[in-house]
Amino acid sequence: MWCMVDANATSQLRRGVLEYCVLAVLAEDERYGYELVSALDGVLSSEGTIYPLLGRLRKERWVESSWRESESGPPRRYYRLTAAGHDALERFAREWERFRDAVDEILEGRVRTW
Amino acid sequence: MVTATRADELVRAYLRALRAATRELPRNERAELLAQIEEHLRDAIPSGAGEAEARTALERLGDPEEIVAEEIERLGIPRPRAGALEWTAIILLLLGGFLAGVGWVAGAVMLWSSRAWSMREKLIGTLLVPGGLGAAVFASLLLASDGIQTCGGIAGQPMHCTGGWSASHSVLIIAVLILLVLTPIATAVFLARHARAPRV
Repeated sequence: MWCMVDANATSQLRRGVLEYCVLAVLAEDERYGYELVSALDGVLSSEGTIYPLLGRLRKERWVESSWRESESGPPRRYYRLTAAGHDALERFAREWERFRDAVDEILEGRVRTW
Repeated sequence: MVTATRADELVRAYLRALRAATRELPRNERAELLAQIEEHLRDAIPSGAGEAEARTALERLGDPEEIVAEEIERLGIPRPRAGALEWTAIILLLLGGFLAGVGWVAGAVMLWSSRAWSMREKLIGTLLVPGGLGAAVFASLLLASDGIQTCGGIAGQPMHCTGGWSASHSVLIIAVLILLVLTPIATAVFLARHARAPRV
């Protein structure tokens, strides 16, 4: 029973935070698709779903992209964080800290009383 | 030198499945998604990669249906579902033949007026088998009556029989009958599985 709740809970959690993980990776430096996917190892359920997500972030104007020649290999689409994307990431980071601490406290309290 | 390796074949099969799965997406979004995945695969599977490497990369990339489901959700396209028209069409095509054939014709009209199926799917729905289960049963009865043996004769003499089929002929006819009955059922299942709601 716990296992069932677990898998579903993990996928729900992932859904909520994944786009901010993308923003965080792009905050370091611009990346092309495969680089981005490699940096998100462990957070993605399937790598391909990053592309619809990037579409959403572009529509939100948190991320922009451009086609460019790479040093090695064919031209690639590079993704970069916009100023609005930086703001969104910062808001989330603050919110996440509060949320994480609150959840930790609740979980720890529960473990102790049990 | 161009030699298709096993890895190339796997990638090609994956892209075919992805193209099929993205049929419902708007043109621009579809082209964009396909270009991104192709670029991803060029990076994930370097030329000369082995079969195992390609297989792992494709597994990590994920099921095309899953990727498309994500895109559909992003674009806010309602999840495709067959409506009342489609279900009525499927049922009438299967069973409408029993209603003096008229039911089947109504089903065919609904099939062709619906946007839930492609041209190819509509042709399959119409031609396999015209009249549906009703026509299949009717044809079966006709064929079976043809195979009835009539025997007669005078007492004390060997019986004399006319009509009927040889054993090999009978096996063939029975196979055709079974096929006639199973095909409309298979077609109904096929139509149900391939129906998608027209895009709003």
